[in-house]
Amino acid sequence: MRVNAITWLFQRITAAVLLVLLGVHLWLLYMNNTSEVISFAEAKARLMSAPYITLYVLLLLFGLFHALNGLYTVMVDMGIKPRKTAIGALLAVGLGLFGIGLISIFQFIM
Amino acid sequence: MEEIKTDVLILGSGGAGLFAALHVYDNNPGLDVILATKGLIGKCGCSRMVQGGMNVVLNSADSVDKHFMDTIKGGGYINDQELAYTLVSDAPKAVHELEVKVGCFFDRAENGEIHQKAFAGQSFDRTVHVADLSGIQIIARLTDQVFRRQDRIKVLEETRGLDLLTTAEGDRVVGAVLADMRTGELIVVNAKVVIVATGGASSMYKISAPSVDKTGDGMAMCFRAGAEFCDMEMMQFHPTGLLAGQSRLSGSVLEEGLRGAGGYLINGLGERFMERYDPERMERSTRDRVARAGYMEIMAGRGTESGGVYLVMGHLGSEFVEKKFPGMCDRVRDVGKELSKEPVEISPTSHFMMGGVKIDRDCQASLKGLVVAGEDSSGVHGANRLGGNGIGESVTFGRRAGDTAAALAEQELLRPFRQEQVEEIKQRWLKFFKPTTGVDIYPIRDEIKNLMWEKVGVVREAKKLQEAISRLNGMYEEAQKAYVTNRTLRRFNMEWNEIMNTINWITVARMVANSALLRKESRGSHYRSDCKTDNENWLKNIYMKKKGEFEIETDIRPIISTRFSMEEIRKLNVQY
Amino acid sequence: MSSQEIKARIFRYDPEQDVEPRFDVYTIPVIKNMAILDVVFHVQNYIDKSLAFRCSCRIGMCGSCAMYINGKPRLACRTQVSSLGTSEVTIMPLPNLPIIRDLATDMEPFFEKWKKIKPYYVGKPELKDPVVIRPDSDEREFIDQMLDCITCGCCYGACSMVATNEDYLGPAALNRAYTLVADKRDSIRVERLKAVGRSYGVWRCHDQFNCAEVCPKNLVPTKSIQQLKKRCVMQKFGVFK
Repeated sequence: MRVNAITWLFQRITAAVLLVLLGVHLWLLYMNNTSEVISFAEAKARLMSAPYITLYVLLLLFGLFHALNGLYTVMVDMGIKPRKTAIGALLAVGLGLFGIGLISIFQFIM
Repeated sequence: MEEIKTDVLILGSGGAGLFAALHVYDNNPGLDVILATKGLIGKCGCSRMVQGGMNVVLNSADSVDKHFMDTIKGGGYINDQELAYTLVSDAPKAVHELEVKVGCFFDRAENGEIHQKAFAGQSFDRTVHVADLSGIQIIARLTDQVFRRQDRIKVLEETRGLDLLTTAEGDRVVGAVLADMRTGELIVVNAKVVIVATGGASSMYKISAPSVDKTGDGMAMCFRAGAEFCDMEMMQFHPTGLLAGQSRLSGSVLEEGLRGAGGYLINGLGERFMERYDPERMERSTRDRVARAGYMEIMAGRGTESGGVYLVMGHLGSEFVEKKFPGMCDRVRDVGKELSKEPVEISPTSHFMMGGVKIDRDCQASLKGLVVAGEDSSGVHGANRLGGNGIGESVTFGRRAGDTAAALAEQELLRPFRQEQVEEIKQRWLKFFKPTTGVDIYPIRDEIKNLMWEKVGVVREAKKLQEAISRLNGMYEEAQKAYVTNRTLRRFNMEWNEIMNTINWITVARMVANSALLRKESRGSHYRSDCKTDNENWLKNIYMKKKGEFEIETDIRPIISTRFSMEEIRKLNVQY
Repeated sequence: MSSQEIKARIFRYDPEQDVEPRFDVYTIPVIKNMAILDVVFHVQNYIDKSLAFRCSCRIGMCGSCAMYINGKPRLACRTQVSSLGTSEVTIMPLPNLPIIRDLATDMEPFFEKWKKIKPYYVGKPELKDPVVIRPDSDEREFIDQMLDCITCGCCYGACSMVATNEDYLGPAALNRAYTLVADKRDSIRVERLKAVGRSYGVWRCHDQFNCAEVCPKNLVPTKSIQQLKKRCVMQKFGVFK
């Protein structure tokens, strides 16, 4: 695999970025609430604002890459062969999950 | 039985064997090489165990002539002066090749040039090294270079040589029979040239330094094939062998650089005893003298309780000792002592054989097709080897052996071997699997070690030597009756291996004892309590070869003094 | 059992004869400065001559006698009986390697991987003489320390990544690669870096430091592997030449 160095590097970058994004995500959810109880209207409003959508698309992308690449690493560690099949399966799962994620994020825009 | 045809067969994977393989390949990459080694490649034998380093002239204030004079002076002036000169003049080329081509990296001095440290018996600090465990790097890098050339160099690991194959006339070697110890199967290798580089047999002494697998196999094979030997009585004892009771650690060398750096040797009474033996050079005297001094102190009852003397480094500062000799400090720590802080018990330990197969400058032995390099050969070191000239000999003569073998292999035809000789060799070494009962080899092995230590040791005398010879002859007969306990187990059979080792030990030991009896004088590491040094009559070498089945034919001839004459040597009249 | 004796449970297995490995137990008198190597030699010389193990230099320089001693890969010659703190010892062959017989393992997979990283130095053609390098140069110091490897295979036997993935090059080979990749005298550093930058090279190391824990020479291959990963990335971005 020629892309090893890149995926290895990106795994580390995504790890760092995820730490930040997850922090922001938690802060938004738990600290930045206007009221005690989360209302549907508020949630809907959030998911219609550009910064929120950007944040969650990034979280989705980085989270998926980090998780699936991590899974792939474990598979190679265990000696799974052929690796191309593993990559294909993970890409399919990844694309599927990405689609579902996008649908959820763009719920109120579409 | 598997049969292999090849251009060059190399026995041994120490400095000489590996370097020879590289040089055969680099001279002519079209030649096929088989490199057979008793252990794992680059791991068995003693080049790997080299600690101190290698003597070489690199500094413009030094000269090869000085190195040459140090070498023959250290050698009791009976070196083959052509070989000694070859060593000193080839050494710089070898070190250059090791650094530039092989990829070694020797320790550097402050100015960034290769560092050269002090060793005993030398007029200039000229020993290059990698800390205090130099052999690891030299051999590891040479091994890597052999891997690089594996298209032509076929390596047979854990495959020991049993015997050389010769023509019916007996004047030429045409291959060898080997034993793959993992499978127990024999292999016939038919070769144009055979390089023997398996090392000496110093392990035949109770306290000894070499690796356990180095048992004089090459020498014994050459003897049985009828090659000529020289100065077999010259056995070096290293003065600073670690004492560790009955453990196998006992006898391992604490490197020469410790004395070079200013370490003291102290007897049980706390005296720096070298004052009595060599007041001028003290601990930095040559190995023969220091070893003998230690031995005599012990014999005179001035030793330690467990029969040793002390090596003291503490006065040099523990930080300095730890930094310069990390490997030695580690080793001593294994026996529960701190080298940098407290006295450590040591004893002379059997270390190196100056004697061996007679060769010329191109490593050609007396039989055609037989090339010998390294400790198996003789003449370079005379009666005593300088510390740092050992790995020097391995690499310089290993290179030459490779060059010679490549040239010969290009000229020669592959001559057929004799099937009846193969059968004879097979019978000689497989017969131990046949009897259901017989002699246990291990007590015999233990006896040789004690016998050699007591009767053919640091200090010798005619009566004891005669006793040793007659006992060795008896032991040879006994060893022939040895049997392998598990008759059906040929694979990785260590008992069978030890039977063969023991027979080879006895074969070499007989030459050593007989030669020691013949040299009726004291010189270098050969010290006779019943004879003084005789510079008038004994500037001579003792030659030996096989007569009949197992007898030894001897010949005494004047030394080869092409560069420093006998008159000049006599004028010096050095006494040992 | 008195304190002057040691009970040795030794792994016995002949792949060509035995269906299952077994343990044989021997009681051996303890001598001064006794190493595990002395224990197996005593058994082989005087009790059971059919025992098989490998040994050469017996002082920690050749790396032939690595075994799995009381649950840890170690050199038999440099493991003192007294250091185990028990009068019972279990001696097994080095893990992750095929067994020839008893304690003797087949080191071939280890060396096949060693060869894969192009372990040989190929000097730059313009370097005609030994280079002048001051001994206090930082980089050289780190390489020199890592050059002390005696290819005993202890790290290879301890590495859980080698255990789970038979293709993984393992700590020793990668450590060797690092010493060459960081050696500015060498001319095929990029080629070698590419050889170790594959899936079964450096990327399989997950920094568990098992190798460093067992190395009898106190090397830290993990550190070398990290350095290689860093250089792989740099090479990808064209920073390493």
